[in-house]
Amino acid sequence: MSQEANNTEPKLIGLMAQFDDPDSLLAACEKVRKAGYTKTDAYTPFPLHGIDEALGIKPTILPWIVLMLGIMGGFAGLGLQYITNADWYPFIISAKPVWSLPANIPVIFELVILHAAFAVFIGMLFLNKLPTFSNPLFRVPEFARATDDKFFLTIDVNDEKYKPNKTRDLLDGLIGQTDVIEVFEDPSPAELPKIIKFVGIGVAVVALVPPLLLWRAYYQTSTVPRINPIRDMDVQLRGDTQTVSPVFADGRTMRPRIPGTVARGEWVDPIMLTGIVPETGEQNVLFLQDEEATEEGTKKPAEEENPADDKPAEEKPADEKPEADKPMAEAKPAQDKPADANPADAKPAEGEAPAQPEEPEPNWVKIAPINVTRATLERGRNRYNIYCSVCHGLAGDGDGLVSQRALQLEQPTWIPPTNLHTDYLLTQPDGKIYNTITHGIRKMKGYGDQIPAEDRWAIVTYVRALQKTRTGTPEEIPAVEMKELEIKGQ
Amino acid sequence: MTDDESIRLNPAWQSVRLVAMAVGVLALLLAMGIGMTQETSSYFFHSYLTSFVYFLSISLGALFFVPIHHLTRAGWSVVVRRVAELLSQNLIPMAILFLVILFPVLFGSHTLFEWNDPAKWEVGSAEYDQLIAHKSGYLNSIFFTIRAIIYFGTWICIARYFFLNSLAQDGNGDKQITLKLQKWSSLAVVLFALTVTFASFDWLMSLDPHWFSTIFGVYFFAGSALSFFAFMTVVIFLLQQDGKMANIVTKEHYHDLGKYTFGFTLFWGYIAFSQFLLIWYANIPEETGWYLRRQENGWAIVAIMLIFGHFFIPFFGVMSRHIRRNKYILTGWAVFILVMHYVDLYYIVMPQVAHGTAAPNFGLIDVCCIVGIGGLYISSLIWFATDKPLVPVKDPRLSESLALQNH
Repeated sequence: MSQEANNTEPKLIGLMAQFDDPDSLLAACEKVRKAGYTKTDAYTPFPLHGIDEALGIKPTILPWIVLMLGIMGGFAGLGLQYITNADWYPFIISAKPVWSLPANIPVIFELVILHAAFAVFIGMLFLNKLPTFSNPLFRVPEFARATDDKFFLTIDVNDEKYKPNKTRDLLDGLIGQTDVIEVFEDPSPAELPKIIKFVGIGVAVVALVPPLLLWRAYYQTSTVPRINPIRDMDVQLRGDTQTVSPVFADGRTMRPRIPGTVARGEWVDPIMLTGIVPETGEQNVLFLQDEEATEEGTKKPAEEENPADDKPAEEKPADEKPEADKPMAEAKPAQDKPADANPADAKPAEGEAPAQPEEPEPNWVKIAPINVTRATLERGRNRYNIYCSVCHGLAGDGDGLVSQRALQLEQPTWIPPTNLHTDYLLTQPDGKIYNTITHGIRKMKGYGDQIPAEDRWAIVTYVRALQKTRTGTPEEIPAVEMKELEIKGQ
Repeated sequence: MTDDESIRLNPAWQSVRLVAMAVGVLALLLAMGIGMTQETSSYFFHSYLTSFVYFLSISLGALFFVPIHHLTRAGWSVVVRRVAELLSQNLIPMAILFLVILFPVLFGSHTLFEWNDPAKWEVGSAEYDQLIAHKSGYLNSIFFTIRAIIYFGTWICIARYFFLNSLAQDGNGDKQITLKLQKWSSLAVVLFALTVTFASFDWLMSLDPHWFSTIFGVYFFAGSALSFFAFMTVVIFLLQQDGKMANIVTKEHYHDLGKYTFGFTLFWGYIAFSQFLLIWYANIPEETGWYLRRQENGWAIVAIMLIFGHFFIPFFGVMSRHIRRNKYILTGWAVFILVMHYVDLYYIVMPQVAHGTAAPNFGLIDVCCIVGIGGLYISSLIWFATDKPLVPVKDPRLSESLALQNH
């Protein structure tokens, strides 16, 4: 077969005129362009000014490609930073907003440059139809001198104007032309040898193995440590909990808070947290620190200084080891029970009473400092039913299931929980009820650790609502509701 | 070619010179008159400084261009080099105009430069300013004057040296002169860089003596070089409209001038942003105060004007090859850039009026200062150009420049 192919006449693909000097080439190019040929090209050993115009080569569109890709790169940079910094991983650095343009401009700029550079490089290759491994012109021996001292002009046979003899005559008639050469198609087979194909496919398959292994390693469990080529942050130097730090003298890895400070961004209205209207700025800070300490379960040294803490301070030891002490705490509450039952006497009996002379009653918030809506009340009811109703009862009468059972078993140390409808509680300011929920009272444990401040306030408002069910008057019912009730009653 | 009328200024320009000079002097007197009758002369001095630095920066750009041309053995720019040389000669009248700023400082005025107030460095005085006192070793009227003399001395020496040698070559065609100038241009560039940096610190940055910016000299240089290329484009355009250098400066040269304009537009934006970004990010009070003042009292609008007018709009404006090769459009952009360069300097200087409490208030004094200094600048430019060929006629690279082709 290949023998036959070699015997056939090779196909003519173009005519090539050779020149000795650039001026003749330029003149020839002019002439050929004026004759209407478009599929032409010129080859010179050095850049020749005016050859583009002479051949009628249009300005390249490369600048547009570069501009478009540059702009795209800019938007890519912008989007990348928006998604990563402002959306996926909002992290405040140097107190700058998560989405701040000045910080993003260097990256945008660099990506514009990167994209533009790639656009120039790849666009140039693409527009020049590179990479081309061979060109039929290379088979013409004379053409080697195109890099030395000869100038060439070619006309493609596929040109619309191409007529075998006419074109030949045109080239022959060019001034300064020294030779006209016919360029034939390369007759050697264009297909890749089979061996290269097989080797190529083989290499491609083998090259897929490592990434596949990696992929498998990432998505499978294993009993041996995994090979981790991209470590990201899997392994890092950090102080884990319950380990000793060699860095600090006290050996702690978790650094305790510096006394007298409140962490940035953790400022919450102390009224909201404590239910006490503070009188001084220092009190504010103390409240917050105390709150933090309670929530983290760590012990605050400053606690005793807190005037608002007189009551909870007694309960604190119990809070510290809640799990272990629970049965104890439940067993213990005995002596306070009678006091609770008669709230009028309760206060003096309470151990808080002795504290009173030295520490005046804190400035309790009269009304819960939250926006009370239907949703708040619903939330309050929900939380109340979970945390409070077991002892205080669903209606707040102090007849929760735990209490009933304890009485049934005649537990000697059991004190029935407070009835929420007593005058003592009716006259208490909201802040004090809140404080009781937070820090506990007598044998009731503090719920500050378990219930977020907002929910504690919601419980307070719900308790108020419960109380209204006993103290409310018909006038307080909105007209609409009243009507509904009347309808139901009928 | 030396006697060719097409490379010499028309005699008609001599009357322009006289008119420009008369208008310039009158405008300056008017500005001074209004300025001095005001409650404080602070506004006048700041406005004068703005216009002064504006024209100074154009000449400084020229002073940068000429040695760089020699240093790089540039071929393309030979035909436009004489215009740059002429522009750099204007540093001589600028030195005289600087006396309006220098004398008050020397005689103890502190309307312009706060640091010149002795109360600021007297320990125990109510006005005592520790930072200014600390800097008083550098920022004091005597050393300030000495430095100003050094700056202008250096600049005028460089400008005259390159200009006179170039003129000498016009006569004798000695190729050794080109080599000699190339040799000295390296030193000239170094001296230029140092003097311009410190001059910008002295005359612009020390308006707010509390401010630090190590990149400010580069920022000022970027604006200078850009405005110089824009101004040279306009000058050459006007000369061509007058029938001069008709076949000497071609669109290829405009293309190259446009490339420089484009490049320095980007450079200015890059430097201006570099200065801003570092100060913004570090958020150190003594640095941010300067920008803070320029974001209040209506200056934010000027800042935004600069971002777009001094960077984005001209950047895309002169990006295209087709625009750069069209001298009419390129000159239009050059004029736009020159306007924005004034806005830039206005933004640097004017917020310091009355030591940093002023709002933008462009008015008659500013116009008079621009017209005044501009008139004198143009008139002296014509004076320097009179009777001299507008291209270096015997430069060995002239033919290369004449045959310039862009790829």
